[in-house]
Amino acid sequence: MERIIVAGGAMTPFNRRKDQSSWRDWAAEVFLAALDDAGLGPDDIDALVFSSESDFFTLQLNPASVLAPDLGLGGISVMRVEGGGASGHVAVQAAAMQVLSGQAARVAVIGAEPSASQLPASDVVALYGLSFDALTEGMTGVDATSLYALSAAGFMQRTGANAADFAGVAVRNRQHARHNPNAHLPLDTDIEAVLASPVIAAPYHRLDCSPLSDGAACVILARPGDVPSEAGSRARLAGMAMVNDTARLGLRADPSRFGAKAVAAGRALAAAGISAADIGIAEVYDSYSGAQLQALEGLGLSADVVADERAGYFAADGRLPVNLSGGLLGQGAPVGAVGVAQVLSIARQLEGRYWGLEPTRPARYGLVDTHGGIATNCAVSILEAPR
Amino acid sequence: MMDIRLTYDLKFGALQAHAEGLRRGEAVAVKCGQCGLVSFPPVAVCSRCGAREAEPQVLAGSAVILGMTGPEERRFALVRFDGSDTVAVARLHGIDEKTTDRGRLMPPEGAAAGIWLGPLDADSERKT
Repeated sequence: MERIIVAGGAMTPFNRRKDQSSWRDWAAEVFLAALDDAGLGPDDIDALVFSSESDFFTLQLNPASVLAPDLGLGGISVMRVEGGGASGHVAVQAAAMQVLSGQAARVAVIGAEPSASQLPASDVVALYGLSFDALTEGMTGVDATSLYALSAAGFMQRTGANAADFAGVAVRNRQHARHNPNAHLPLDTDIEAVLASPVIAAPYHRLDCSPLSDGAACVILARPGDVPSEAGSRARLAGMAMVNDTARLGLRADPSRFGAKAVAAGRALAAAGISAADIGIAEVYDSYSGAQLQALEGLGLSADVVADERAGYFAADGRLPVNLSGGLLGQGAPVGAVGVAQVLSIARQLEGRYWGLEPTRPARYGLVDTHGGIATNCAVSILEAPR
Repeated sequence: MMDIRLTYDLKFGALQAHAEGLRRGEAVAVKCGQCGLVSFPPVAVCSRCGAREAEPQVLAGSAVILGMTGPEERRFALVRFDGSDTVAVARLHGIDEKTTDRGRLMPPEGAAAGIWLGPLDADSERKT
C-alpha cells in the first residue's frame, strides 16, 4: 500500500464523566493535542472525518458539521462515518482512502462517544440491541450480551474453552490497563473474582463484559512529505481491509466463528506484503472476554487459540502481546472513539512512545482489529514501525 | 435533563407477512424459488444461491433449541424451526435447559414483538 503515516494523535481518558463537559469538548481537546503531536495547525487540515456510533448517544445529527467550527475548521471536507462498534476504525480507513485518492493531504479523524454519562445504562443497552437486525432479532428485545453469549457458547463447545479461559482474558486486559492512565477499569483482579461476579448471560459474567465509557480520540493521517519531518517518521499504515458478514447470526454457517475477520485480515496482510506470523503486537476487539479469543482465531493469529491462551502466548511477555492498552475490557469503550484509540495505541507502541505497557520485544508490525455487530463488519489494519 | 419520547410506527416492508404471522403465532418463512432453501426469518436474497425470487411458506411452528442463554425472565436462544434450513434468534418463555430442547412459536406477550418460543404444549397451558 502507498505510504501513509499516523502523523500524530491523542486521546482523552476513557471513563464515566462526572463533570459538565460535553463530547464536543473532548473532541476539541484531542484534536488540538493531535495537531500539537504532529506539529501542525488547524489550517493544515484539509479534511475531517468524525466517528460516533449513534445520534441517540450524542443527541446531535450531522455531528461533523457541527463540530468543525468548534475546531476552527471551515471550507474543507467534513463527514461523519458510522460502522457500529467499528465506527472509529472505519473512519480511519475512510480517511486513509481520502489521502490515497489525493482528495486530501492531511486528514484529522476524531472519534467520540458519550456512552456512559448522557443516558441511563438501560437505555444504552436497549439501543445497542438495535445494532443487529432490528426487524427480526431486535424485535425480540435481545441485547448484545445475549447474542455474544450465544456465539461464545458455541465457541466453547467447539474448542473446549472454558469459563476460566474467558475470565483469564478479562483479568489480563485489566492488569494491562493498570499501566494506562487513560483506562476506565484498571483492576487488580483474578479469575475467581470474575467467575464470582453476577452472571449477565451465560457464559458471561459482569466482569467478562466491557464497560460503557465516555471519551474521544484523534489521529492525523498524511503522506510523510506532507507533514513536518519529525511527524514524517511516525508509524506507517501498511495495509487495511474491511469485510462484512451477515448481521443475523443464524444465517452463518457457524455462528461461533468470526469468519469475516479471516478475510479482512488476509486482505490487510496482503496489502502490507506480510503474513500473520510477522505481527508482533495486536489491539483486538474484546467487547467480551471470549470475543477476544474468537477474534484471535478468526484473524488467523493463532492455530489453536485455547492452547495458546493457556500457554501465555498473548501476555505482555508472550510471543504475541494482545491489548496492552487494556482493550475495551480495561481501557473502556466509548464506541466511536474505540477504533481510533486502537490505531493510536498500536502506532505509539511501534514508535516506542506509548504511555502504557509496552511490548517486551520491539515489534515491526502491529495489527488493529475492530468490529460492529457480532463480528458483522470487520475492519483490520496493519501498522509498521518507523524505520 | 432532557426527556425525549419517540413513538415509532415501524414499517416491516418485505417482512410484513412474517411480522403479522408472528402476532398470530404462525411461522411464515420464505422458500427460495431457485434452490429451495427455506429461510426463517425470511431473507431478501437467498443466503445459499443469491436468488431474489421466493415464495412464503408456513412452517409447523415447532423448533429445536440449539443453544440458550440469559436469566429466566430474559432468556434467548438460537433455534431452528422444523422445515427451516436457517437458524433464528428467539426469546424463550417458560423454557429452560432442564425442561426441553424443543419449543413452539407463541404470540409475543403484551406489546412485545419478534420470535417467541414457548413450551411445546403452550397452547394447552394457556387455556388452563
